Amino acid sequence: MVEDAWLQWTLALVFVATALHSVGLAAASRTIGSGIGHGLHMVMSLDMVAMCWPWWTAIPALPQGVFFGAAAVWYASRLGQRWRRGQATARFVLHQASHAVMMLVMVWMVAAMGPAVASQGEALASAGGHNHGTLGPVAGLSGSILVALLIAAGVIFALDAARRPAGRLHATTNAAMCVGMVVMCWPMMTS
Amino acid sequence: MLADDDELMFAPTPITDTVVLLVQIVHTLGLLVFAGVVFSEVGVLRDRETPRLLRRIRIAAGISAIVCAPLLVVTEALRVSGREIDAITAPNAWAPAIWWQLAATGAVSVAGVCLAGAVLCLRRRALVHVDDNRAVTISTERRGRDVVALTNRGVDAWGIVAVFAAAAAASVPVLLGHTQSVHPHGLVQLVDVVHLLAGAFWVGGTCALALCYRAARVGEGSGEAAVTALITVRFSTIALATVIALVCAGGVLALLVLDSPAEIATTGWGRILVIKTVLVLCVGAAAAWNRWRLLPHVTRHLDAAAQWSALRTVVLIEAALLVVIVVVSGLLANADPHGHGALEAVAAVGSSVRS
Repeated sequence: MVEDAWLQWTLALVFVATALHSVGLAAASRTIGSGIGHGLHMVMSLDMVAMCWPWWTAIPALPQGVFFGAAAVWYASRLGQRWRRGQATARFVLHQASHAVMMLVMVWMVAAMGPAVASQGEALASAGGHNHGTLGPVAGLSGSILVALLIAAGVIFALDAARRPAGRLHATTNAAMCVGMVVMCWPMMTS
Repeated sequence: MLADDDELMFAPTPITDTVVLLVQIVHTLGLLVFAGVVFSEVGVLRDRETPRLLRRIRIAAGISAIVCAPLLVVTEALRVSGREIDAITAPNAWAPAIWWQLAATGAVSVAGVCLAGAVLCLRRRALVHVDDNRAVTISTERRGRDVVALTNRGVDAWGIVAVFAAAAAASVPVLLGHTQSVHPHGLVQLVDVVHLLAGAFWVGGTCALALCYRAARVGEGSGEAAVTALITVRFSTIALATVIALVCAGGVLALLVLDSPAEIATTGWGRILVIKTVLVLCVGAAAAWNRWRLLPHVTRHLDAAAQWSALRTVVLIEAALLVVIVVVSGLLANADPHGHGALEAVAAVGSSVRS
């Protein structure tokens, strides 16, 4: 997580914008599946806005983890359904997999930087220690893999935005979400 | 050689550290892209006309490397002498701290890029053109000259000179960075050179391929499809060898640099290495999909528009990811693999960590 004020405000504004965009798309959706997908991104964006500020640790971690875990499963099952029917284009596969990765990164952030970890850090700080936000081996390895996949997802969305005039705004929004999440995770990776 | 070791201070200079990091990334990226494009022009495109945008990319990458070389020398010297960036206008502050590896990095990168660029500008190649009726014509690269017979479709002698000059320039980053402190010194530097050159070929070759697809309008009924497929097969064959070299060299480097495998997950350097490795795997997966799935299809059915389009998209994704990988590699080269609280310079670019 970040504590520089300018970065907090920048990221918060980016995620407010992506949340608003998702609300608009969810309202305009013609199918339930697509509406749910945009709704999940709206919740994700709002949670990311909260994550920019210290009070985010007051939000219980378990419901967040369960919600985003279920969201990842939902995207994966959507992908699986289309795949079985033989209707999954390469673009659909990449996009759904990218959405699933974004949700898994949310689960990771809640687990690795959530209230439990924050309280440990505060205890360490109050005892005179200095906590650099270090991750354990499992959290470090899984986080690195997810951040790498998130970077790849961001690249895919950014290229999509550059090459396809139709849906450019949507792809740009997804790329912005990926970049914002990478910026949030990066300090934890490098500490 | 350092002028006077006693005078050196390693005081924290966050702004200088960040500037050095950025300059080093742009310098390395410029060198790798420049060298990669040169390798591709000489080894893959050979008798094909270089797409205009690719030539511009090569020139832009070369200029960025040339501009960043002196900047790197000065800012790195400032960092080593513990000065902040505002001392850049006072040569007395940084000149004594320049050691031979730093000076060589600047000089070789500028000389290599200039030589390779000049050779590519001056050499004459026999070029093959294919029109929409699949008729083949041959001309020289420079207009107004006699048409030459296509006697040698291989790599020309001047091309080899350009490749060596570009390879020398792309290899100099091994003189700086964390591998300087790793033993056995000679082995580490040799492996690092292999790693850099293989990476350069992959980056430049993928960019070249993406731009060839764009220039040739493949999949749109163009007669260029057959030749572009040939270029793709050429690149794919060399790329397979370079990817194997890249992965082996990277693995050996990681083994030599890290004290224990556990450091991969527990240090900042190790985690960034994992990020880079996963990104390389993503690019490798895309390349494998191209080589074993899409490429056989388009070489059999040259008018398969959907497959050409997919090939173009995947190659673009590969190229973009490779540029990201070069940036991540720049961060790795600047970081201390064993340092507790490592990558402070990297973290300074982003933000500080809240416990």
